[in-house]
Amino acid sequence: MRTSFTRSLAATALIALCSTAQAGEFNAILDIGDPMPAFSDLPATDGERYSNTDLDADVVVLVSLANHCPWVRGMDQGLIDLVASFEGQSVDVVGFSVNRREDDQLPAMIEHGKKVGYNFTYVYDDSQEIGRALGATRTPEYFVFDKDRKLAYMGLLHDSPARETRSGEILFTNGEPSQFFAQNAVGSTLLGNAADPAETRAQGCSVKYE
Amino acid sequence: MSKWPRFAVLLVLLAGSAGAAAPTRMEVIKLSDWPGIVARSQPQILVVDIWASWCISCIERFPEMVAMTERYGPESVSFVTLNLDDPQDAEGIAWADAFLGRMGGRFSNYHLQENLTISFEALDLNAIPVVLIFDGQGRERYRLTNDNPNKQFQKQDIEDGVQALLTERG
Repeated sequence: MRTSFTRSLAATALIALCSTAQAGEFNAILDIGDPMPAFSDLPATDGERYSNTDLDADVVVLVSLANHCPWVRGMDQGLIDLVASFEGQSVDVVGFSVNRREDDQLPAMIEHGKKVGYNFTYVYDDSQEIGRALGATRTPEYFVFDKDRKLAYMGLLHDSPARETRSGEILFTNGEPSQFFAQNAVGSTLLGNAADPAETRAQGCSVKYE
Repeated sequence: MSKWPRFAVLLVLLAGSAGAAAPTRMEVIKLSDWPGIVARSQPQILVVDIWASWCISCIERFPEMVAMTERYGPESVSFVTLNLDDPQDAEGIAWADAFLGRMGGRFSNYHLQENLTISFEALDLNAIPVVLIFDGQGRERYRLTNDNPNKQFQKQDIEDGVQALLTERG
């Protein structure tokens, strides 16, 4: 019995190790093709509460955000443009914040969203579970899910991550963006095609899990 | 071919560098210099703090690193900061340089001249802060990151890594 239990424990450990090994190239938890994690009753900047079951579009984009992060502020306009470009198409975009610092929580999210003109649902998860389940460790970080809610793409918005400097200028790391990874991934997924690339190395602030 | 384009390029370069004083506390290095810097620390254990001025977590935890440099003698542990502020961001680099001056601590300070995309690829990083700990033979033994939401590194992990290597060395 003990031997069997030990074997079972070893097998569990091996599965856990394999799970880690099979996570994404730049994500310790999730891999391409994995199902979208569930979330429930998260408060949003519009005063409503949202669950994953509220999302019925063909493509769902979850975006890890944090108001305080200069990379988020540097790429806010890019995110707003991305959402606008799919207006009228079957795409749901949900931004989420999980940091517990005051300037990343709901009151500050409402203020920031209004200031920059966020045109998508923006939820806060004090439990941090949605971030943990996605393996979201940077802001901004994009997760695109297909109609079956399988992960089709994760990583960067585009190939020239931008940051707001101390004096408020927007600084693009690699000049004018030329490869719009998230945009292309949403477009391909809408057509039922695989995103290429399916994963990129997101660049931004660290998410702090507590 | 006219010499004018070359002259114009020179003017643009000079204009770009005006007011962007070189950092005084950080040595500007290339990625190709990095292995040599790691090798130079031998036979001491080497603790590397990878950071940038825009990284609030890096700034907030930096006093812990300063305190560590005071707990270990230079004969046993070397401390290095590796700054990844964007080479185009003179304001950020100047802030980082001044910050290091304010904080003190027994560090050798370096600034990488390649941008973040290139540096992350070359050093295989996903986000900062990151702390690397090398043993006395220059081998990376601990890579402390925030890459796994369920296992983000703490101050104690740095202490534990250093202590383990000190014990191993005897």
